[in-house]
Amino acid sequence: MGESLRIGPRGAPVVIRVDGEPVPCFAGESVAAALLADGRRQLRLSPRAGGPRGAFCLMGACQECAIRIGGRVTAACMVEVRDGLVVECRGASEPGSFRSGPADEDVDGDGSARPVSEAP
Amino acid sequence: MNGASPRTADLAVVGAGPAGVEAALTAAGHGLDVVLLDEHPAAGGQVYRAVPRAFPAGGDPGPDEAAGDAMRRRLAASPVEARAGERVWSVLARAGLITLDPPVPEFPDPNPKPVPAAMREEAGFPADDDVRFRIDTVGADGPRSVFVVSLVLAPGAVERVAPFPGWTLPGVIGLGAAAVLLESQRLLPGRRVVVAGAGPLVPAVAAAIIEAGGAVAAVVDLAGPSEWLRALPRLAAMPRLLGRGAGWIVRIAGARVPILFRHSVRSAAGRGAVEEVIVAPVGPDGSWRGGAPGGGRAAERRIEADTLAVGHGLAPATEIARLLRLRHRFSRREGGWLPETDARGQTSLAGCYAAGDGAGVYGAAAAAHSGRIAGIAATLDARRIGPGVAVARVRRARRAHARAARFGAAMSRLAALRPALVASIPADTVVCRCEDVTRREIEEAVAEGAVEVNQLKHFTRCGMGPCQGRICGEAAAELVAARIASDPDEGRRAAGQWTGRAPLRPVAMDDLAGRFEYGDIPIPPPAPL
Repeated sequence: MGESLRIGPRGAPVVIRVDGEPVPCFAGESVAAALLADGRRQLRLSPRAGGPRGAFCLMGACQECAIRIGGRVTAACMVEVRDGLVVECRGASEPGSFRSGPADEDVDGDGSARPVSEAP
Repeated sequence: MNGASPRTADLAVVGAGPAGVEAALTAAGHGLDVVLLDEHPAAGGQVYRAVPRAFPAGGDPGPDEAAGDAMRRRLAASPVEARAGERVWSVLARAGLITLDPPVPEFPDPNPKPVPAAMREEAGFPADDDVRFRIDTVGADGPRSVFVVSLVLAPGAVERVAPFPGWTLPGVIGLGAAAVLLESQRLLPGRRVVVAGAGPLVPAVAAAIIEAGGAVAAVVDLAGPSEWLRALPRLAAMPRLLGRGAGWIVRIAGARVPILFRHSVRSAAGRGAVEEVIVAPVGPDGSWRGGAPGGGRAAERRIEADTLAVGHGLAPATEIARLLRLRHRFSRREGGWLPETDARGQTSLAGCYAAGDGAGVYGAAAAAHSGRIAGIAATLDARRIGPGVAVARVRRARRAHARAARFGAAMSRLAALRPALVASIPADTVVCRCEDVTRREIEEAVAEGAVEVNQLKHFTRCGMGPCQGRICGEAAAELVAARIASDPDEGRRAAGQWTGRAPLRPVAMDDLAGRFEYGDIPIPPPAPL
């Protein structure tokens, strides 16, 4: 993918999994920055028109980068990468999915989904 | 139900940029118990945004990084309870609070009125006469509540981007976004970047890309050289900042990057992401020179680029102010709608103060002074200083604020939203990104009777998506305004603002519920027959 967009010293190397593929990045980077540095600019499709969307404000306001991170839909610009973090480039609602995807459980066994209280 | 027990404090400050930090430090310096809340992982706001903790120090920090580090050190050495990474999702004012009806006196009764006992218990407020506000947050420690006597809102601003065809494509980002990538994430926003829009962020971002070794395809500035020159005398109030600006221009010119003054982005296009940007000349009001798109093709330029960083100024972030139903006023040159404040920053609700860009966009230097003013006012609320001392200190801080604000006002004016920028949006262009609502749909709704932005939201879902209208709000309101009044500002006043609603940010239900056992769920006794 050509020369790196990274321009300064960064944290320890870590690997996240994006749509099943390993993506190398560095501690301290946001998921959104790591995906951009990896050349992945399209993060999801818009729910109504199905248009390609990517990170836009990078400060937690616009929610354009809200994708599945550790099984939960979260703005990718507000989450730091960590080793083994599972990322799916898919929004909360995309055309055809009628505002829901598969249950937000610990689909990948990485333990990122929060424990939910159980009825006795 | 809540994970941690509620905490009470003298003051809560929402937003840890220069305004919020100075408010917190000022009040804590007088012995107040202060909680400072910010959703980002470190204090600094967007202007002094911290480099991630996991990144090693990188050579020579720029002036913003150095100023931010100094601010963070002062904060760390203070007794302020700074909670970074805590997202405020709800703010409640206790019922019975005094709403200050106009006219707002310069120094209204400094002593908070006790709230009648009957009103205390609502919303779980503790039985403390002085507690007036409840702030709910969610962060790494789960949901938390803090109950406070005084509240300073220092939420900063949101970047305004006037829609154009292709602005939803991946690769189109805000100027603020580009600054975050460059300064905090140490990442070039793209391989070949068009930097466009209005205000000081345009040359700042272009210069930062060049300095980092990146390629800027073109700088596209809505303002002309004459507008920048006209701003000069006011900019001279802050020679250090003016010098920085001059440095940007030297850097851009030195890299032989074309600077297109009085130009604007007509469209961005590409397969799946930005590949090219079309720009064209505009008049001083932002309207296309040579008529509508298609009419002035000769003057259009096609620029190859993989990234477009674009922004049209900043608008005060008023989510909490709207949620609290504070009285607002519309002031285009100060960024748009903003909460009304008196000389000490008090809003229309007793004990609630607004400071920084969230109370009118005047920039970081002025924000710090307005934060200090709010901090003094909160100190007066807590009766740690008397009214006489408070008045003298506020007056002094206001003089410093006025000097800094002259610079900020000149910058804000350059970036104020030009009505023609919105008027030239093509009919089938998406305005509301979350819900894919086009200009045509908005105007059809207005024709059907949606003459105010909340009606527009009900008719079209414009502003109803996860960004809660933060991104499309300005353009949508401007489109409504143009249809209901001939004067743009009068139209904006009539079109109003989105009603503020909790949650202020998208939050997961199980984050709010926290961890609990089945037996913890309170079961109300059966109603008597």
